Amino acid sequence: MGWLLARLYLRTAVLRKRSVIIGLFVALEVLLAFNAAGHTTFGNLLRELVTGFMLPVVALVFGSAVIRDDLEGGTLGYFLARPIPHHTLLLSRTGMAALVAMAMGLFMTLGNAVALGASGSELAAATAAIALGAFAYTCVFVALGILFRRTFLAGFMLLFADWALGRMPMGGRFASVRAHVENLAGIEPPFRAVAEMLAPPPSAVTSVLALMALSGGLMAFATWRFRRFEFSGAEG
Amino acid sequence: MSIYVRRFSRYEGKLEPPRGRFRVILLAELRRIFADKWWRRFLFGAAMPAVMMAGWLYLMTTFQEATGAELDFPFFSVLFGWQFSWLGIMQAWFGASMITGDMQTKALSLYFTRPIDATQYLLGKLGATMALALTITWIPSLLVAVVQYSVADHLTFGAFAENVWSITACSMGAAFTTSALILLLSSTGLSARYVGITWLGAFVFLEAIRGILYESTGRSEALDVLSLARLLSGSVEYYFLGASHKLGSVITLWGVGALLTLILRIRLSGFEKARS
Amino acid sequence: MTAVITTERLSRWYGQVIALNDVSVTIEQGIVGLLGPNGAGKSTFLRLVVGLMRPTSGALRVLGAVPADEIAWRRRFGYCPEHDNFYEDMTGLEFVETFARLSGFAAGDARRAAAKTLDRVRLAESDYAKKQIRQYSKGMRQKVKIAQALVHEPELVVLDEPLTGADPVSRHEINELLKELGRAGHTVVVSSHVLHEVERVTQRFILIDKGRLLAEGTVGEIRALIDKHPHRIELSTPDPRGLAARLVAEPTVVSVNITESGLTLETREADGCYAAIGRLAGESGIPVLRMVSPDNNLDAVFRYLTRG
Repeated sequence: MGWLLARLYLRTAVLRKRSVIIGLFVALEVLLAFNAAGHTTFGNLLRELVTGFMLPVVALVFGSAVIRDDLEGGTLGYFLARPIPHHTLLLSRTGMAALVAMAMGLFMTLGNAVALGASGSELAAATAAIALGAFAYTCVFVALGILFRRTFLAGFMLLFADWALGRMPMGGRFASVRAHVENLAGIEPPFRAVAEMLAPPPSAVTSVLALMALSGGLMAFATWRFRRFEFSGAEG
Repeated sequence: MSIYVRRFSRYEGKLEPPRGRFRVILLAELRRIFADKWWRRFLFGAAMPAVMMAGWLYLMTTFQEATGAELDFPFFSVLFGWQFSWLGIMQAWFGASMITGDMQTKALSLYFTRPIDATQYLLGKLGATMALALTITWIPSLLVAVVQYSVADHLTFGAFAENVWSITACSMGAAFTTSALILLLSSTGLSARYVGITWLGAFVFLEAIRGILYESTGRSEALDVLSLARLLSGSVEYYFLGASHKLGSVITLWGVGALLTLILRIRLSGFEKARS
Repeated sequence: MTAVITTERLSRWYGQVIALNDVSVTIEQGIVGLLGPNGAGKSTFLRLVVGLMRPTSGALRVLGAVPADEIAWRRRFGYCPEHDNFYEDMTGLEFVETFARLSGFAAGDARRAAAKTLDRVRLAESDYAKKQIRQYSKGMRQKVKIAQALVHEPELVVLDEPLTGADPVSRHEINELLKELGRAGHTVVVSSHVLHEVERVTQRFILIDKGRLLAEGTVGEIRALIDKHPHRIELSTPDPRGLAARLVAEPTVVSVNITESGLTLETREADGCYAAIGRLAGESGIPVLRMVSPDNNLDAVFRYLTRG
């Protein structure tokens, strides 16, 4: 049942014309990486375009589609009227959304690594960070999709808050998902104030635990909330 | 053979002049968005930097002697940096749905069955989008300027008036060009959320392309024309940091806005003809 | 007969708006029409029945279970929503097959069951197998929606406004299908605001308005309970005055009016009055050419109940 639901999500939410825009941006990012060779580093480009923009946006698109697309389209009622446990519906679709976000993130990471000549250890760290980051961001947007009708607006505002938090001094930036992803990937922050040196970044293990706790907590909350979910027709 | 007798009477009252009909669209859009609770939440968030800055300004002035704090801080350039970030999000959501919403609900064809031409429609939508943009750029900045004038003894009325002019010009340029661009994207027929993503992507990627070209072609400032983010920051530098060499950014920003408006006008004419 | 759906003081609020107010009703096997104007609370009632929503207060049991709590039990009903929502790029066959699989069918069985059900709703194979749903007419879309509700052969079929937007041919086909379902032993609850359409399918109704249960039963039963409005009977006869003179003496007759084509009488006891008309016509030799009751139909009953 779970695999069937995940495949159905892939067909109805991912393999659509509208995903072409996301695909174009992903391709453009890799293309830019090849043109940027010699002018920037792997870490810089990853921070500016992948962890700073593409990864959260891809997760926003596919994470918010997990429930919100069917809710707005009115097709969620067909699922909820079937003998499908709510958690199976939610978790299988979330899993597929996270896989799609990971695949896109890893494609960009690999493209950037090849274009900018990243070392094996840099690529390994970035791969792990992007995979975990894709999962964490997807969980964030799935939960937003269950909580808010205007998921995209809430998502844009959350991305803005994540970006703003990511620029806080004195380790305050580690209140953002982005800072933990960049910390795991071994990417330097965009600025290095004295205050930043006084509060060194947490260890990689701490960042992994922080991202996993966030994802797990959000999914537990989303599942609990979704079990109490009521469907009153299309909201689109 | 049938004889048809007209038993109805046409509207005989005063007709508003055709040129002012864009106001109907403008006001309807503003009413719709101002009634949205998300807009109110958004406005609250967007007002925060200005409120915090005005509060900080007041406290620093009041306790200047005790703290010895310097007040030659580039208030408006920092404030506009924040407000332009909010502007980006605002256009990505509220601006993005302006035309695409009408296309999806088929309201566009309803508009063009009325004596409203593409120019009137464009003016209504552009006016509404600009009004929203000015609400989060011009008004908060004016608030800070007024607080600054009222607490800073050394600030002359002339300097205050100059600040007001700079705030107005900077806000108008940003509101005009960003509104024209988002409306053009909104007329592509994509759903509002994808218009929003394309808009944000255009910001980020155009800046990235400019950055790469900047590094690889001898650091020419002429490349600023490629990036809307760079034109906006150049405009802030020109008005608030005395960077007279950034006049080109200001002129380009307005020029790009005018060009986008023209393209949008042509595109809307296409819709108008298709419906007629 | 066993009760399929029982509700007791069932209420549902949306914030401060009450959609369903204190509804106590029992629905037994067969076809039942759920009738009411737009906004009466029909869709809310049906969503509660299939567990898409929870009641704010009151009790609801469907096929012996509390709908919103029991997932496995959902195999036993099929739901056709009011809204016209699909995955537009699927064919009708793919759509119905998908939801058969989500009801637990194995892949091959799901495809066969989907094709069989689409045939049953009278959708042509060339349409359901090859065309995307976005190319379907309104009537075809309604049939696909009904098919996905029937594909797993449920005991209870809940159809929310299945006739809306369908052309006359599709309406006829859907009506025939509903009758067929009733004959096959399914319990069918079908909602509509077009009363005469549902009258072709069943004689058992539940009438609701503004969230309140107005009446339940057959048209005759409901009509008999409305004391406030006398029952009208129109008669065509060559001698209206002669027949009227005899009818006014009958205790069951409240009033008699002579019209251009005959006469109209009002009674508070329809069955007794019909018997009296037959008897008097026989005794007097005045022929009765036509006898109709303009308010012995669902429209009139509903009008009386909602407008007082």
